[in-house]
Amino acid sequence: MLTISKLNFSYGDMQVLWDIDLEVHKGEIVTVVGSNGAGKSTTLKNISRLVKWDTNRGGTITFNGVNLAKLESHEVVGHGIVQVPEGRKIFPEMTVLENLRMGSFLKSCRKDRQANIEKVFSLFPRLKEREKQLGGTMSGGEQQMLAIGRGLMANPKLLLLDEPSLGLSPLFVKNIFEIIKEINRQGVTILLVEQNVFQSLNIAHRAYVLETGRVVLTGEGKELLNNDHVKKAFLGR
Amino acid sequence: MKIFRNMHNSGFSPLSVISAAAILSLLLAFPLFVKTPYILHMMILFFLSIIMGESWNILGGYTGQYSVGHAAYFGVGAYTTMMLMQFKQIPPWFGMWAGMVMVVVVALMIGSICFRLRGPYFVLASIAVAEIIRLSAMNLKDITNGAEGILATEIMPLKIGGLVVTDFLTKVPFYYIGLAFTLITILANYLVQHSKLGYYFQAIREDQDAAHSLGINLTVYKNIALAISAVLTSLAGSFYAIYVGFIDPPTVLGLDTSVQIVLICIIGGIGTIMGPVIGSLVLVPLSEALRTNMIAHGIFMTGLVSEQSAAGTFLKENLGHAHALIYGILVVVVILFMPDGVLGFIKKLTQKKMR
Amino acid sequence: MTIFLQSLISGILIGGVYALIGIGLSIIFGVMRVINFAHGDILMIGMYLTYELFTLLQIDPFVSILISIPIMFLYGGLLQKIFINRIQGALPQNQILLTIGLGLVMSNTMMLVYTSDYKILTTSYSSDSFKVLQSVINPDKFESLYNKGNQLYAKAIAAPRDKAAELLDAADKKYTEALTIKGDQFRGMNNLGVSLATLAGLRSGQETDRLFNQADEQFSKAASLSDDDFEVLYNWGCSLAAHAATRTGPEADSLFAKAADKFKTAADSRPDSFELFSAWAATLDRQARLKQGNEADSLYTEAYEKYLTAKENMPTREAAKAGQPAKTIPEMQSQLAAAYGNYVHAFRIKSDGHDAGLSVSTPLAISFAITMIITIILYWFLMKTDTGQAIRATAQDRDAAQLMGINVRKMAIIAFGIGSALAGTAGALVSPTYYIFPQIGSMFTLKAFVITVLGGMGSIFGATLGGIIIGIAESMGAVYISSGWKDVVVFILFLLVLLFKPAGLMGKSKM
Repeated sequence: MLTISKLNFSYGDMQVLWDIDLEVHKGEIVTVVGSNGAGKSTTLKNISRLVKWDTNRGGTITFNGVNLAKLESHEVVGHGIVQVPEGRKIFPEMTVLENLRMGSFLKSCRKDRQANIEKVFSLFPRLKEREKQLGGTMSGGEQQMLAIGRGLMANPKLLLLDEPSLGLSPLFVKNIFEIIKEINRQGVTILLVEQNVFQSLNIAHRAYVLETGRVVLTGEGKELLNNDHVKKAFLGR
Repeated sequence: MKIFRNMHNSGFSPLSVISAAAILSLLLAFPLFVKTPYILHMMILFFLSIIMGESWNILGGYTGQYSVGHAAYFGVGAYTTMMLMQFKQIPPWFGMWAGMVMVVVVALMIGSICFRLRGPYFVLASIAVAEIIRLSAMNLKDITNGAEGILATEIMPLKIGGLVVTDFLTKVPFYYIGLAFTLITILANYLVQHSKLGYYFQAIREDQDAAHSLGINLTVYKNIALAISAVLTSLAGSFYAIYVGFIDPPTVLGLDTSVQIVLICIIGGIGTIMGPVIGSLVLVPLSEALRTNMIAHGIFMTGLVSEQSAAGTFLKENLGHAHALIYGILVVVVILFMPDGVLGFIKKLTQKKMR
Repeated sequence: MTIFLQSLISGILIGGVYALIGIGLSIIFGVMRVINFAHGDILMIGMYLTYELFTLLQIDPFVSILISIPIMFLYGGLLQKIFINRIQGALPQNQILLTIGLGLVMSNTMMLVYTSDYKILTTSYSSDSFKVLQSVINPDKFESLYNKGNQLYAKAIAAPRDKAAELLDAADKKYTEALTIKGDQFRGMNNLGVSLATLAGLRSGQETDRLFNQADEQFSKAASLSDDDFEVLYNWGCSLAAHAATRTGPEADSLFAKAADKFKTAADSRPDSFELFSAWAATLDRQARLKQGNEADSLYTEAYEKYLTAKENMPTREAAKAGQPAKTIPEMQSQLAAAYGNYVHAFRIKSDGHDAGLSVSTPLAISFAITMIITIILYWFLMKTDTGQAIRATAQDRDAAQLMGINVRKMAIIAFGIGSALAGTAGALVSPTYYIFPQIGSMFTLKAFVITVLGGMGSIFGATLGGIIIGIAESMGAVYISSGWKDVVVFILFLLVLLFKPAGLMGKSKM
């Protein structure tokens, strides 16, 4: 479904991604784990085209045969790739309902708007209670629910989740991973970027480990949980 | 760090000393050979423009505080000197000092208000303060003559101990005063660039918060930069008032004047000594050419439009009035295509070639 | 109190237009984080567009916004696409300078096309006004009688002869009654004097003489209360001269001399008056005709001097061109005779009464209604439509908006288009009440900043409020301080807000 090969990227003179190869198949949960600054978010931003494409040696990113490199961020959404950004980035001066409506801004999704809102509300009943509240006034966990819900409004084929558990209470973290699994069960392919290595490897079908901009390990989620290197580097065991 | 590198770059290379001396002696000797008043006039305008640009450079270029209200200092200097000369018969070379003192007071008042703000808010505040001063000059008719402006009826001869040095009847004394002021402002820029003070200024420009965390008192050093910049600008204002002999609020205190001052630096390249010189080299002849309709005649010579045609008459009659049009076009072109000014543009071109 | 409410109302009305200007700048800033220094110049272009539509196609300025809104939208959109878009994310200083440059290009291009002459767009209702709250706001008895007197006088001078006398008689009664309530109002005496003198001109014989004497008494009383009031002295002079014209011999001579004396005093305060000098010249001319020889010649020469001053002071330069300067007394005589063949000079009544109710300028009231309608439509657009919400989303979080599939560059173009359309509309709305000239833009740009900073950059509701506050501050400043200082009041307010509430009066609210 999504194929990344030989992806290179630099901020100015500083190269942060080196020859990344990554593949996501339909129906999977794929996770990219690694420490802070390993290049996880940059990889996602390259997919969603939030960063400028390195035309010289960028490599290739294709999604269902479409070359993403040439697209602009808002066009990527039209192909069914929706990113839930790091830090949630919900619209602070809009109500919960307005935020969700923005999620289905694309003309192709507007016809499903009402049905999708119902779907999101059944997934996150908390949001329904707060539908008139301004996004900026909600707690971190609620904002994360809203960000994911907003992402689902665009009928994603592939959902990119950037650090969804960041800054949440442990109870909420567990909750979020359950929901990710549930979303996947409903047929959405997921590419998850996380620092919470244990939880994400636990739910992932396959995983990539990134260190200083390079893929150092890849394999099935559960398998990597038992990998010595992973254990030593991330799980403290 | 870039700023550190600049610090140690202060040695004079023999070549630069020689070429500076050569240019200076040429400029000093210039009126001995060229007597045409018009050419001297152009040179004086050129000096004036450099003084204005270099003065702004200290605050805008080195310290990174984009004041779009420098007309305030230009105008206060011009008004103080002119009012003292015309209404109190105090010769301009004393009035000029009074102007500088006035400007320091005004600048520190403005600084205490505007430097609490950053970025676009600072720009807006600097404009607002300059506008307040312009409107005050319009309204305080009893002391400033209001919108009518002040016309200098005569300039007292410059005397030292009873000896008349010059009576200001030709353009030559103005030429030398302009040259002297130009050298003073360039020297001020040089000293700022190569001193600890200048290092603080540049640190503030690069990153205010970092500078603050290094222990640099932002308010103090921004105000020092403003005071130096304002005093030099007032010098330009006094010089302008005496040379032109007429001032009124819109010409010396208006927003256009502030923009023009910034423009001199932007076009040349800000934060460099040569920037305002280059900017003046571009701007002064260009606006003069427009004013005297040389551009219109140039268009006729290309044969695109005939002088006798309706369009030709129109151009001849109106192009001179709209000389600020060229400023506008220049700003747009410079910002879009050479955001670092002409100097930066040339540097980029040469670097590309070297690659 | 009346003055306060009066200036409050005009402040709110003009504030509506300011709100449009502020909202436009706010939307642009909200979506692009660029402070548009060309905003006032865009408004200026809107003014010229309205002017052209009015003079070429006779389209009413308030109707023409239907045409200028789409034109200005396209203009703004193009500006953004061609220029502003390229500096998205550049240093704020460079963004500011680019828009300053664009503004310079606009104002100077307009100067090239239209020259810097002031243009005036006069509609049939430009100076109309109507009254509100008449039952609530009642001035004192003197004002009301005084105003009634003024109204009767105004009717009288437009009425046929017999009707006029009747009306003037009624006016006299009102003024007299008013003066019994407040005996120290010299404007009342002045107007009573004017009314009596005018009536005198309509009567004959003893009656005329008596009325002129009564008028003289009123003027003399008025002048003793305010010895340098131009109108009083001018009217007094006119009254004396008119009186003299009905008498003969030495009596006429002394009245003419007295009249000339009044004119001389009045000239001290208004050396630029046309009426005064022409009345003065005519008086001297008539006096000269009573004399012979050198005495007559010197009076003619003096009269001629005044006549020339009057010509210089003439309101239209065209009229002043007529005739070559005379050199000899007969030439002077004939030119004076030609100029003053019929020398009835209009009196000037004072009409500064405080009427019942508040006066509302019709064009301002219409424009306020339009601004409110536009603001409501805009608010609905931004809150309820997908595109409007997408614009707000872009303003709130540009990256997140992109991830929703919103083409933020298109939103920036739309936002700049809306901002320009609003500025253009504001230009159309103020064109019946402002002079139109190429440099007017910078004044509006500065005002727009003040408004938006006051309301909090990027907040639409704040900009509306800011606009109205600035409108009120200006109108109060003009009344209670002076019109020259009113902009200073606004800028000081601006600095205070920048310093103490940099996020604006509305706090941190965004679009």
